[in-house]
Amino acid sequence: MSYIEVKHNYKRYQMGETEILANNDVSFEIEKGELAVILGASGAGKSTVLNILGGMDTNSEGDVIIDGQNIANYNAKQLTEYRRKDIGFVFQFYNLVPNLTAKENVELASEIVEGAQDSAQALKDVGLANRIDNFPAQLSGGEQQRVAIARAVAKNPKILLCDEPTGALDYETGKQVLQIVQDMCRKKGATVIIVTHNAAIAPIGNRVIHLRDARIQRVEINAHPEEIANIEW
Amino acid sequence: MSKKILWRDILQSIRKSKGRFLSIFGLMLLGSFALVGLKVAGPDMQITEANYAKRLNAADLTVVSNYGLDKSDREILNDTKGLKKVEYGYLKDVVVKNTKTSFRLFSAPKSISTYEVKKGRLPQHNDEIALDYQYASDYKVGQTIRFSEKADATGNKVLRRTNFKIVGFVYSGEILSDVNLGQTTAGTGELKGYAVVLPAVFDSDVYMTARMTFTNLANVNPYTDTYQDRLQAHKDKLNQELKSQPTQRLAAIKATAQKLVTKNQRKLDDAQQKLDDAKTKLSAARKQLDAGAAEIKTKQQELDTKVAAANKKLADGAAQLKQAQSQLTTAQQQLTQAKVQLDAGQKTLTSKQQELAAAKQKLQTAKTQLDQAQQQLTSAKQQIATGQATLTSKQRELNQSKQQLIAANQQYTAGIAQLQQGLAAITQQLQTPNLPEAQQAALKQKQAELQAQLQQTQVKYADFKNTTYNPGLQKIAAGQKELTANQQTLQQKQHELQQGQATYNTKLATYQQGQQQYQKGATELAQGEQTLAQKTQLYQENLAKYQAGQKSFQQKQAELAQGKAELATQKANGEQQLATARTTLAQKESEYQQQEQKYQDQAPTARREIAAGQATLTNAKRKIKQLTAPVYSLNSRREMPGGEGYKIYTTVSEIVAALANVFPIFFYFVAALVTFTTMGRFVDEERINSGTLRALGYDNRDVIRKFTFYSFMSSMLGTLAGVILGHTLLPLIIHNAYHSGFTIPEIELHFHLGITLVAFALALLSAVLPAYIAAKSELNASAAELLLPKPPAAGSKILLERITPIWRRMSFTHKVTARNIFRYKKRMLMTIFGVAGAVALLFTGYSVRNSVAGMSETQFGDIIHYNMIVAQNDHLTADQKTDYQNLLHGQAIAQQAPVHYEELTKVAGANHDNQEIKLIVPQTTKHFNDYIDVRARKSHDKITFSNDGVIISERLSTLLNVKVGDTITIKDADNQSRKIKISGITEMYMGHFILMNQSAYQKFFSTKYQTNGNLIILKNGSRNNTETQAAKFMKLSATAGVVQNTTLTNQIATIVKSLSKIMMVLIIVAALLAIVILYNLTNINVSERIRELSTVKVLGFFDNEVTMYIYRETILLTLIGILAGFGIGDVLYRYILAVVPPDDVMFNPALAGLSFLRPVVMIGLITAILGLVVNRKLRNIDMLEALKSVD
Repeated sequence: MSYIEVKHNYKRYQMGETEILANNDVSFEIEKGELAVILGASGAGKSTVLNILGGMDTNSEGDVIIDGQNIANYNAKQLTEYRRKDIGFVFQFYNLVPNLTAKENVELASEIVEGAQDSAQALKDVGLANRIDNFPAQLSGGEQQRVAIARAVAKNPKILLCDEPTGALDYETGKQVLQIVQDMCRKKGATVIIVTHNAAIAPIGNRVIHLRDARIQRVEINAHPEEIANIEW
Repeated sequence: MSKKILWRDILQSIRKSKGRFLSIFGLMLLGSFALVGLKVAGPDMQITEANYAKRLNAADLTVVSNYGLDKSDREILNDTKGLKKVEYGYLKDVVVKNTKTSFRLFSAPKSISTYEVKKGRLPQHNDEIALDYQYASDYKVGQTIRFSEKADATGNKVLRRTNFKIVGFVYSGEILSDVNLGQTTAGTGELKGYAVVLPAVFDSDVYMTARMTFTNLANVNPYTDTYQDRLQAHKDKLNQELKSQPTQRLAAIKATAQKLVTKNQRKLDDAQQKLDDAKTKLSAARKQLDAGAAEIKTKQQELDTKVAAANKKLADGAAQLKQAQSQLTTAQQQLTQAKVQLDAGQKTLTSKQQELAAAKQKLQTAKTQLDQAQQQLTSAKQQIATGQATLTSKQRELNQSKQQLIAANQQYTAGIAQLQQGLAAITQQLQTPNLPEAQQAALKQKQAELQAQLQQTQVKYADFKNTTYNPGLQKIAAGQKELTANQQTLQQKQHELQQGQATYNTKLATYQQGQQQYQKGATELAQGEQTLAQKTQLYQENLAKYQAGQKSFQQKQAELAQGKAELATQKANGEQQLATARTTLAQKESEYQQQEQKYQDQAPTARREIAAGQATLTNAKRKIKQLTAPVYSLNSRREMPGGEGYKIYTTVSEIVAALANVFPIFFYFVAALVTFTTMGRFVDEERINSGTLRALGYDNRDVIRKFTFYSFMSSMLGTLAGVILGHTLLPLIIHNAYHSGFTIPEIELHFHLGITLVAFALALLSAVLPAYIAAKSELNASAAELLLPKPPAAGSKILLERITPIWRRMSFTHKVTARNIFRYKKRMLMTIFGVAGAVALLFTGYSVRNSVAGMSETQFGDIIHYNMIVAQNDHLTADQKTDYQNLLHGQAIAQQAPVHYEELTKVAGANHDNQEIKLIVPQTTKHFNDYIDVRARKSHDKITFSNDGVIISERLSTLLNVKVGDTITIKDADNQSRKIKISGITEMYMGHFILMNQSAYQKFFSTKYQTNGNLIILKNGSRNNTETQAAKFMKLSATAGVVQNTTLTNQIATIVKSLSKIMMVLIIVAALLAIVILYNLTNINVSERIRELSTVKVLGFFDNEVTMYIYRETILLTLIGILAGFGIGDVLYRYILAVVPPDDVMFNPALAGLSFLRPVVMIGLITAILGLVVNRKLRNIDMLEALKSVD
């Protein structure tokens, strides 16, 4: 049994009179320690998959089994707990708390779970040892995203979900951030899922899930992912 | 250029931010509501009252004199300058019969101070009455109401009748209050109602009151200074005019009263006389009756005696009759016997008669023979006889002479012997010893006389013997010898004759013998006949006698019978007469008894009445003596008796006005602050939008217009609603708070332009201006800058972080909170201020409520323990004193203390009103704390009486701004100024008090201490019983007045109730304000930090944690705000305590735990509820959406 199993996942939205199907019988699996890339154009349903996987949204039908637990049956509280313990998020717009220093932003997440990493160490790991006490406003975009990654991984999540992590960053910085994410996967054995519309990023994943019109188009298994340095966009 | 889209955008922005729009709307509404409402309610109350007064043409000035207004007074009043109209009226305080409910009966006025008819109509006949409308539920139209009137000092009653038919129910233009109608002399001392009757019902020489209206006050608002000043001017002038009246009136009244007393005295005397007369009459009647009874008794006895006597007589008569009858029977027998004898005698007689007749014949023959012989003899005899006769004659002559001589001789001898005998007797008598001299003299004289007589007689005798006696004797002897010779011749012849005679005699003797025999027989016959005749006669006589006796017997018998009958008749008559007399007597007796009974029955009453009358009269006399000059009081509507309603009403309206000067400022300040922040946030939020508009070519004004319009719309609509509600709701609520105590019509709602304009101006100032300024300053930036999101407020280290020990100890979340608080300083201040403001208002509201609510309990539970003060009149009679003492030591009274009680005055307070102060000087200060707990307010330490200082009540000290050791000047009951030194200040909430001991009193008042009243603690201190007992005291003539605690309590209760309700409104407004503020702030906080919150949420914070992430700040700020609010509230509270309470009332400044707790709980509750709202809101926010946006 795979670490993550999504089986016949449906997500329906009611928009006035019409029903929109965001996910239509989506099924895929991701193994533990993999770096999976979910690739799709805008509106393909990849964010929906991410939200459901991240416990931020619930599906309408189907099972989402994470490490043997079917989160599709979770209630709001269980989902929150799931997010809190098992998921680390990295957002396109970093979403750091402006009023907190880099360290505090990391602590914000690590404080609420047991067995979290030392926040200073987490920041050191992302190369921000000297920016620990800086407020987000004092950091560049890349640095902020690295703080965000540090925040996401500091609590040792089962899954690290990255939503367009490079979307707001320039090319170089984007690659740096991707490198860190990949390192997290390779060195720390974290299961990482990157959601992106950027097909150039796809080669770095062990598994690439193509979404189109709310359906799984295909799933590629990539035995030898590309090094970050080798990809370009 | 229509800029339709711009407007659509503006409207869109309103639609999108309903919460904010409503917040500003609400803030403005609350602010303007409180401002306008409070500012308007007072004037509305005043206008309502002024219009009511105008409608009923309430008098501006009422003149009352305790002796009424007489002609001279009226002349002065009629001539008052500036007078519009004056009307005189009567009034009298009475009680409803057999109750203690006091009513004041007014004479129906013509035009001034008329009545508002609420039901039925005004009285039109003397037996009709219209009652106070508050009694409309107790009485019905058509019902009869009975009053009883107490006579005044001179025993007069004023009402011609006391029973009336109720024809209607009215409200007075003078007495506005239902709860405190003022003092009265009837019932319990507190007036309970009033009623109107026709003036003709009153029987009084003087009017009791004059009601005046003035030309220059006719159209002036009575709550203005102009009115007060003008009225005061009229008052001063009138006072001047009336200055000399008291002295003149007193003299006149004393004279009238004296006349009345004299008249009444006469009446009493008459009554006494009548009573005495009756008694005299009765005793006279008694005497008569007794005499009558005695007479009857005597008569009875007489009758009995008479009857007895008569009976005896009758019995005697009967006995006599019986005897007579037996006599008669005997006589009858005798008569019968006599008859028989008589018949026998008759027969004998008849035979003897025949014998006699034969004898007679024989005799007659003899007689003839004899006669012849006799004739011969006779002739012879004649011859001798002649001779003899001559001789005899001659002899006789001689004898005669001789005898004459001897007789004369004998006469002499006898005379001499008699004289000698008499002499001898006298001599013998003289020899008797011890003879009284007078007798001796008389005897001697007689002796002399007799001696002389004897000598004379002896001389005469000697002469007689010589001349007459001896010659006479010789002549006689010669004649004798011749005679003897003649005699011898004759004797011879005589002898011859004697022989013839002897023969004859023999013959005659024989005849005579026959004759004698015959004669004897005849005599015997005659005798027999005579005897028979005699006997027959006797018989006849006896028969006659018998018959007469018989007749007499029968007559007597008849007489006896008649006597008996008569006796019976007489006896019956007598008895009957006696019976009649007795009946009459009995009748008279019963009449007498009746009269006596009547007298006995009526006399005590009469005597009592007379005694009572006399007592009353004595009393009246004393009272006349004690009469003091009348006092004229000129009263404004507020000051007139029964005008307490006006006073309370004014106080309530002033309280509202005072509150209006404090609360709205606060409300507006807070509301403006919050609005300001809100608008600033709004401008911030719309930054990009504004930039876009600018970029699209709209100019600044267009952009600014959006914000100004938004703020204008929300604030103006809010203000409009607030103004409308303020003009209506708040006055109505306030009306509702006080109206139960008043008879004033529903509060009139008037539009007040000034305050409305102020409200709108303030709205512009606090909502539109900040929006404009915020927008303007924002628009100073270029369009390009605007298009970029405003950099989030940079995080920075806060002061607290530098205090490492604390900072280190704080949990992470607290650090976050702390930093956040300081990050948004404006919002922090706003929250603190907003909450503080709301808390301050709540705290003040609750504190004031608490302060006034507990006032009565503290005053009458903790401090004042007595139920009433009874003041005695001066100059009491022994009876009055006894009655008073009896009541004082009666069953109902638990404890009492004699005191000196006096009402002092002192001008003080903002309005320079005369403050009434109760002076109580206990006889002994020991146990005085049983009656009044003289203690310091804060420490509750007992305050001891000082010999050279007085204790004053706290309110008086604050009013005069004095402290212990200061000296104040007050006026005593006689208007004398007295300086007193303060040695203590005692806790007291209602009324002013000055307490001191005897020494201090004598020192400061230079008057000898004397008790004139009592503090009384009743066994049953319920209001009802207090009134009952007060009424008992009021009935005594010894009582001058009763001061009950209830009077002030009632008055205060109304004020407290009004104030409480107003405070409740303010509390509600403050609470709403708190809600709006907190909601608004939370809303801003949430919307401003929605991304942060989403992030936190995504990071796996539970809902509560997310909420607390942001709400912790709010809670903290709220706590700070609450603390600040208490601080501000305390200031506000003290201000209200200083400004709001009436001059004689102190609100308890003590703060209650509840006053702190309630705002905390309320704000806490609001915060908690808002927390839930935020929680819900945060739970439902779309995390992802927020995460995607740029901030």
